[in-house]
Amino acid sequence: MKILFEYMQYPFVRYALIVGTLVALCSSLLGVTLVLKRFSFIGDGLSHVAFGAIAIASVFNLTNKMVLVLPITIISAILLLRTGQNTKIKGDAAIAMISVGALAFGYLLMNIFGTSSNLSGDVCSTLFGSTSILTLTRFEMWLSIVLSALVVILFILFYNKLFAITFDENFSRAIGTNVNAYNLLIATVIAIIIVLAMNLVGSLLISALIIFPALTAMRLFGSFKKVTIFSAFISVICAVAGILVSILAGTPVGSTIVATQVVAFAVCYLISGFLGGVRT
Amino acid sequence: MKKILLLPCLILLMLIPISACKSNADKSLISKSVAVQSAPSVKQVLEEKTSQSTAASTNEESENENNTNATNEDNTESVELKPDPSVDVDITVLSATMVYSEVYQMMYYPENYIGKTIKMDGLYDHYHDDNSGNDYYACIIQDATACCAQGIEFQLSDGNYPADTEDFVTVIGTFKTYEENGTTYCTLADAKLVK
Repeated sequence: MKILFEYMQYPFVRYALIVGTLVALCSSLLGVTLVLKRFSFIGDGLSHVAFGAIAIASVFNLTNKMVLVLPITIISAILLLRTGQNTKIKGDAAIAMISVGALAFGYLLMNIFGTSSNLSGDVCSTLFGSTSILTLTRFEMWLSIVLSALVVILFILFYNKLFAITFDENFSRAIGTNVNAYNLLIATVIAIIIVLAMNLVGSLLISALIIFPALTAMRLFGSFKKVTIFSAFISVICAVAGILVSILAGTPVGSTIVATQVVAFAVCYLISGFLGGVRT
Repeated sequence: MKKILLLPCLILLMLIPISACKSNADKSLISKSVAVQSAPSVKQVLEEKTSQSTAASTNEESENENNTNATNEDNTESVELKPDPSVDVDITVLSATMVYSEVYQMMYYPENYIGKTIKMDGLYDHYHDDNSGNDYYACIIQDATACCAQGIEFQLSDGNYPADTEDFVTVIGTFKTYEENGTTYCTLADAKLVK
């Protein structure tokens, strides 16, 4: 505890905890919707698109890569999610196409036009997020806070509509809900979360932030509201615990957070077994 | 109605951790120099804690003398960082993740560390520039996944650099920056190697 308290004196540790908490909260809120809509791997796909966008931004030597990464990721999210359920290329195939294509082109561009002295290190750090969350600038921290607040506010304001679209899109459309607009909103919010979450766990592990909290909550609860609330709670706990453990033990931050989430899932799975199933 | 009540509560909850970052170390958002002047160095913070714990430990020692056997068996002594008191920033006591992050901060915000004595350990590296004929010596640290590495050049005061076969070094020096060919570099000047 003393060591932890002394580490907390460092500003970048506090920044990491603040942003990590907010990103975990945001990703878990939308994670329930994505898991239920069978878009669990959207995080993976969009993170690879973001990686490709980072590669392009690096080639152009942009100081603030977010200027390019965020719009490209949002457009890709719209292409993947806006079409909803009634599309020729189904969700998983579309995600796979865009995901691997963006990853391949991104790495290709970085190799051909890259100016970094340590290409492998940059790629590895972006993919696994070993210490990215601990190297945030003050601007990046405030940007993350503002975007996270926006995501949470949007989720709360449109909670009922998101609930309806998640469970029955066709019925929602039949009763007059502008489903396309809400799919567009979900896509935009997801893109924002993915870009923020890349700093926390890296591109390859982003899906864990989206999937694990939702699935963990579904072991214990059945109602959408309870699953969402517990998902947010467990996601924040795991993110904070993961960051603190990685700081103390010197382990990569992203993998430690995901490992914590796996443990939480296992614990809740066992608890649900003892309790005899899901509680509504 | 619930939504209207829940929204401000949630915003308030989010503001609580944000307000926690307004500590003594980084209150100023306007001027980095103000933040530097007001920011306590790691040494200062740890020295305050050490002095506080020293006063308490003198009382504890007299009690512990009567319970030495039990203490040794239980081994309940708390673990804490023990930085070198002779330097301003001792990176050698930090975990691998923290070391990488702290060195990153030095590279990104060098103005916060200029003039401070730094103690660090890591892989020893020697580079000879054929164009300029200069030799550069550095202490390299790696991140937790060992895919990324960064380090700081050091310039020994006695000029007695170890052989290239040396793998690991611990160095103490004064952090400063210098310009070369239009690029700013960081280095530990007046450095010395320690065992």
